[in-house]
Amino acid sequence: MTLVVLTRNLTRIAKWAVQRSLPAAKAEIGDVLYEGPGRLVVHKFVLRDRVSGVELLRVDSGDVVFSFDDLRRRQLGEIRLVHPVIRISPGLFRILPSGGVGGEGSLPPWAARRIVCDYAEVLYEGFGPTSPSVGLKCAFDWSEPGSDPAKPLGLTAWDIRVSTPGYPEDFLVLDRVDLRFTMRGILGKHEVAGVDVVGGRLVLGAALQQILSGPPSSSQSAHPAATWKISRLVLGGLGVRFEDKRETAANISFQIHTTLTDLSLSEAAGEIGGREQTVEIADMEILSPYDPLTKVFTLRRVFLKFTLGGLLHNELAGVTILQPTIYVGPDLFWYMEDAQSRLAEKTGPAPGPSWKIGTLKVDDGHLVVGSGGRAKYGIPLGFHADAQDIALDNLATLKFQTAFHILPGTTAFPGYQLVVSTKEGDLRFAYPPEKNENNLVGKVFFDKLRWRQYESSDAWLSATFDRSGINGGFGGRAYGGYLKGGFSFLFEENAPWIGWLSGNKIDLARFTGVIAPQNFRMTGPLDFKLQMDAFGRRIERVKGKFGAPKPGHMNIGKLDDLLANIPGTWSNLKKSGTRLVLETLRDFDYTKAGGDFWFVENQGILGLKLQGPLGSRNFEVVLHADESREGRWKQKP
Amino acid sequence: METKTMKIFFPAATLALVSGCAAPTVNLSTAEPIKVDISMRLDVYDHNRQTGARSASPGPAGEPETRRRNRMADIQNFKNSRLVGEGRDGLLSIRVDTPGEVGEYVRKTVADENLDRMALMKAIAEKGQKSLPDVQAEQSSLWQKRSFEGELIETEAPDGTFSWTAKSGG
Repeated sequence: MTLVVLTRNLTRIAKWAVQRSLPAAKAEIGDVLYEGPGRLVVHKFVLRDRVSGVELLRVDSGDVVFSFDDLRRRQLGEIRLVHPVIRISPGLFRILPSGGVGGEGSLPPWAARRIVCDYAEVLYEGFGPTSPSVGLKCAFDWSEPGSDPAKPLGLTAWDIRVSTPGYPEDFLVLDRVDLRFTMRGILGKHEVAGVDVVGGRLVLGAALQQILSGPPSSSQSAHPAATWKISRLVLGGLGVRFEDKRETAANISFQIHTTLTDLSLSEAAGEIGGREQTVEIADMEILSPYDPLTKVFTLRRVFLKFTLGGLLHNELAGVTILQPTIYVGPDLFWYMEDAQSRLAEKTGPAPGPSWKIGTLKVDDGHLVVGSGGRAKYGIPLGFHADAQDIALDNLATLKFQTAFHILPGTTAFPGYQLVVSTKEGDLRFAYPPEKNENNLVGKVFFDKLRWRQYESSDAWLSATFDRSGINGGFGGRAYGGYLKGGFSFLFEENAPWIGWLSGNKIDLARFTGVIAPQNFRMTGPLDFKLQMDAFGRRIERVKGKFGAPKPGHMNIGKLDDLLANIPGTWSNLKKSGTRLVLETLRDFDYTKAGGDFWFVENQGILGLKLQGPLGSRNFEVVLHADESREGRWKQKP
Repeated sequence: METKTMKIFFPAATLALVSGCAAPTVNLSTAEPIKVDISMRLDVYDHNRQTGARSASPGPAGEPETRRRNRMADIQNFKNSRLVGEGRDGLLSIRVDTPGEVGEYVRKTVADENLDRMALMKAIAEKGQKSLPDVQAEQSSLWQKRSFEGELIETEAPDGTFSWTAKSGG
């Protein structure tokens, strides 16, 4: 009889029980049904804040399986929750009995042999403008959760979305999170043993900044979450993106794979920070503000060293960048201008302190020269840099001035037929540039430099970069004299460039020994100047002139072959005449020499005029690309 | 393997040799060394690099680019002589009108060059969805930057007027 009365009034009994245990809450219970021995089914269980009426907990339905033996032991057999919705807000903590989850190792007054939930929704919100709102879905299946306080339990959450009040978009989305904990840790120490994050995205922007800029000891420490600890947090595949909503802004994104240990929210906001954390960022790309397929910087690996306290104060202890590549092209300068204009737009006081980097190290860097379109040409320079106390206005607008040091070493570039032995050098990178000049200035010194068969020593190369191209100068010792030149590389389609080279007091004997060994030789010093016009690696036009200011000797060694092969069948007169002519032509002492030349690709004219005590020699060498008579330039005068 | 044919011409090489049979000894030495002036032209032909086949990577319009390459040496020759210059419209301009057959050749070559340049610039405008005058201005700037010292270019003065000058510096 008693059982019948009880089973018919289960809903009222349940409401009464909730009111007794949670007096600050108001319970709405649809039905509590007794479905056979040992099984209670609850439909629609809702807990509201009695004062505000805010819904704090909703369970669409749930099963409770029990036996009387279990009940005598203050234990339930199984609790199965179907689609619970738990709203964690300040109101929830108001309705919970204080001290209910007290000392270490203590267990709740009631326990269950199994607690199961296949799909739950949790909302965490309402803790103030600088406290994030969190929504997640989760599932768990705990067996004997109360039998051993140290027994490891798990919970899997997914679709975790974290937002800042007042911001429509989530700044953090985590695909999946696996939590490991013990009842002793949770209830006694507020400690989660492990959190594994698999996939997700984090937006570093104003929303996160608002959370980080919140007072560390205000509302965040007013609720129990502030005191919780995570023994080990593993982040895997968390994509991070710097927020910038302007159409012309560059996108900065990277992936974080890292492990943080002994992470305490209260420590982060209070004791702060002594523990240094390292985040490795792989394959970071900064793209052009105008062309999402054009890179501006790529950073193969970046190690960020920081403390959580430092982050709260916009400080990174150190940044180490390995294998960065700077793509010097118009997009780099557009990016720099973009950053500069962004700085200029900032009127009024800054919202917070600027970002700072304690130490910056760059190793194994490379330069790639871009051009119109997306053609890229590597520059034979590796660099590294060290800098300290760098101020960053924010992470999207790097602002520093440092020198990237060119490392000494010998490098071969077969594609260019170039071998360079770098001595030293630096690449000065004022960014954003000073005096409204967006440039990148470098000067490199070479012990030796060899291009094809030509060599130079004690050479130097300097260059300035701007949005229209690269302008450079170079010099070096070669063949007893000195070479000096310059070039302008234009950021245009097909990479056009022009160059000029002058030589002073070049030893003709050594020089002709390289360009035409045994075939042609001159002695004495040579001064020359030439200009060239090229596209990429293809030299289209060359023009120049030369002169020998001092006396010398010319020898056309190639004529010795003809002399040796004068046919024996010729008459003595013909043989002698030919010999005399060839010998006259072969050797000549000159007091004055000069000439000019021009070539368009593989055709053109070289003129050489020599004057000496024994007359003059005037040569015109015409290089034809074919035997066509077309083209007035090649017709005989 | 490149095959090069060398043709050597000796237009000024006159020698007088006296052959002695018996008779009296003739002294051939001279009080002053004999001065010899030699002018020589050496034509070198590269058969493996045909002019028309050089355009391995044709430009946007293909054929105009090939034709342009074939006449580049002539154009360079005109530029060296300052017969033509790079105008502000991306086209070549005849600066010295030479009479006769030479002048006719210059005019025809420049006209052909400008036709091809215009075709290329139209293709660039279409590809980049730009106006033709903008492309002409860009190409003019590029041509002038690529000009050699001493070549004629049409430049804009600070007051907005244009004038022809020989490119300086370099």
